[in-house]
Amino acid sequence: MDSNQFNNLVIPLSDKLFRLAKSILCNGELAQDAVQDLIVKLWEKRDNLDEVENLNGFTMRAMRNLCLDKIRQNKDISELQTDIEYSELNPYQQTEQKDLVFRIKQMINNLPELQRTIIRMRDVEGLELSEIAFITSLTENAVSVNLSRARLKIRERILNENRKVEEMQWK
Amino acid sequence: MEIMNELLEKYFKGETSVCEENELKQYFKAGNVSSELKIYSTLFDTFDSEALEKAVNPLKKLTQRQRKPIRIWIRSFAYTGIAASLMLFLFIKYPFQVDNYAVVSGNKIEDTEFAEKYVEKKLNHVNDMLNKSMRPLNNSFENVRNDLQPMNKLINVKEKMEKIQNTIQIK
Repeated sequence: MDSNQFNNLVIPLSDKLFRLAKSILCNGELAQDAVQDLIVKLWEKRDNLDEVENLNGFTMRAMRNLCLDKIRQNKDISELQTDIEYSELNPYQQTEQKDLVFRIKQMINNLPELQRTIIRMRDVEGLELSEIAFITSLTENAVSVNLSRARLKIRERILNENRKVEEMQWK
Repeated sequence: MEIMNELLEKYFKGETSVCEENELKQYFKAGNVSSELKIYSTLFDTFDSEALEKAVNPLKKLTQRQRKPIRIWIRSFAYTGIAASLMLFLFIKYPFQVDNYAVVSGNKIEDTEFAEKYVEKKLNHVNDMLNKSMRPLNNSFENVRNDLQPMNKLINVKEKMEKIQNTIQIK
């Protein structure tokens, strides 16, 4: 793969790779760093990239593995270290919290790594179960199960918070 | 409304297709959402906002790595050039000097004028000695030449005799 092909085929995947990295690492700066590291590695192996059938899936898988390695190597990057920390806000704080999107992001970031990665790959990137299975090295059934668990957990939290807000309003 | 409820239920169980999920997204984006389902609007808004996140300068580390070898080359040339200039400067400023001196009777003579006169004197002495030794030899050559003069007379007689003989033969 020459530099032109690399620019046209690999570099456009950077945004997707960044979002995946951010989902895993829960940190924007670390995610940017991880993407840059991956681009270097892919460049070094560009001669072999012609043989890759599914470049999208291949690079996403590589991104995920790289991020998981970073988590393993650096104990400071725990799964729970996030840009925005999730905490159970009391209803008064909730009413003051105008950015509900911010709250939902917190809820998703608080899921286990596999669940939050899968839910984002599906709901943000729109990937098929088969593609997610390839990236995560799971079966389609396992992906489906994890996706369901993630969505149900999010729904539970949304309903929970909504209930608390309503209770406070009634009081 | 009923259809959306069912679709949403299917969604949280992880049983919807990508197509059906797009339908749900369109429904919540449209804004005309039932009060019962309004609490889920933010969830789909969150996914939409996350889809807009982008990688920043993914080529940063790659270009840094590619610049390093060039910088090393430039630095090497620069250092070599500086060293060569310095050496040239020193050579011009302090050229190599060869010591010129003569040794006379074990003494080192560096005065060129004295050395030249000494050499001239010695050469004249050698010349005189040569002339003196050559004088007897010159005398001998002179004597031999004188002794050989009668022989020259003989050669003249011989030539005359031959002439006469030739004259007689013709007749």
